[in-house]
Amino acid sequence: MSTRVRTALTAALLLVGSKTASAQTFTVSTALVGTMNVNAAVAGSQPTSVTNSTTTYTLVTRRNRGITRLTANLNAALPAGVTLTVSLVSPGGGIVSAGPVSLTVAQQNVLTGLPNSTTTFAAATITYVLSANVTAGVVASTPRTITFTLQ
Amino acid sequence: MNASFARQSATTLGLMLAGLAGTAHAQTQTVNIQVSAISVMSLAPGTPTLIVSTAVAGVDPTPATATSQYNVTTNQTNQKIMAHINTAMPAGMSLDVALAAPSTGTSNGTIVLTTTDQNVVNSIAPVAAPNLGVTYTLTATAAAGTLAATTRLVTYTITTGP
Repeated sequence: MSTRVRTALTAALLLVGSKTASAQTFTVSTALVGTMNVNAAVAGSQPTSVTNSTTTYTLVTRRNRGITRLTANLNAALPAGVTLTVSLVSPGGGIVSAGPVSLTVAQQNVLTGLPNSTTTFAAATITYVLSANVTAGVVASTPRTITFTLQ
Repeated sequence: MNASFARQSATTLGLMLAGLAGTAHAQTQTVNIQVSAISVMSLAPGTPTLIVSTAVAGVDPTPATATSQYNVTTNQTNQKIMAHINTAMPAGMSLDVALAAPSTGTSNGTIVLTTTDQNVVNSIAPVAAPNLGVTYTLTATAAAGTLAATTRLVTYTITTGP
């Protein structure tokens, strides 16, 4: 077999491969959510939680990839007495939201039941809720990175 | 197909399969988290009324008492609650107040209210405490005579300090 024929066959194989290997994707509308500041309380109660629902996600699923869920985890633990939850609205298609998940450094499911089909789910809301009890004290602004992973 | 092309194709397929196996996709978002200093208190609604109207013969009139409640939340240490009235009491009369302390603080007991701030609860550490007791006592000597109904505004302030 000539080099020209081998090259052509390999290129054809790569083209087929590149078509079938298009990835499932999970993308967020913005990488920086902003600052969430617990700064008020009703007297006699724990400080008032703050909520941010300004960001969205787009999910593209593919057939035969074996991807069934989306997990989320933090890059570093939260200070004692501080809780950050994330909740992803189900975009439909049989995808199940785990509801508010209290984030830790361990991966936890936030969406399950991702379909075995090629589908695009766009602009579904991500909601973060930051809570702190009084024992948390004062916490200076500090970043936490949330990693979402398709698995 | 010769052996060389077979190896090349096998390598290509291997790369493709590796690509498929590696379709797990990650995205990140960053949140800046912050908790500010919080110290708040509130009083139960209503206006306590104190009327000195009786006495045991031979001694000064019997003091009148009234109760109320307050709520407090702080995420700081070394907090205190101070109180003062807006106008001085008439001669021979005093208005006292005692606040129950939250579990992380210390009550100063009964304080005779004046127009100057005085500590009524000290050393409050982080706490969220509802429905703590407030007790007012109005005392009048016989020499104070009678007094038509009047009001005093008691102002409470929670702040940092000894």
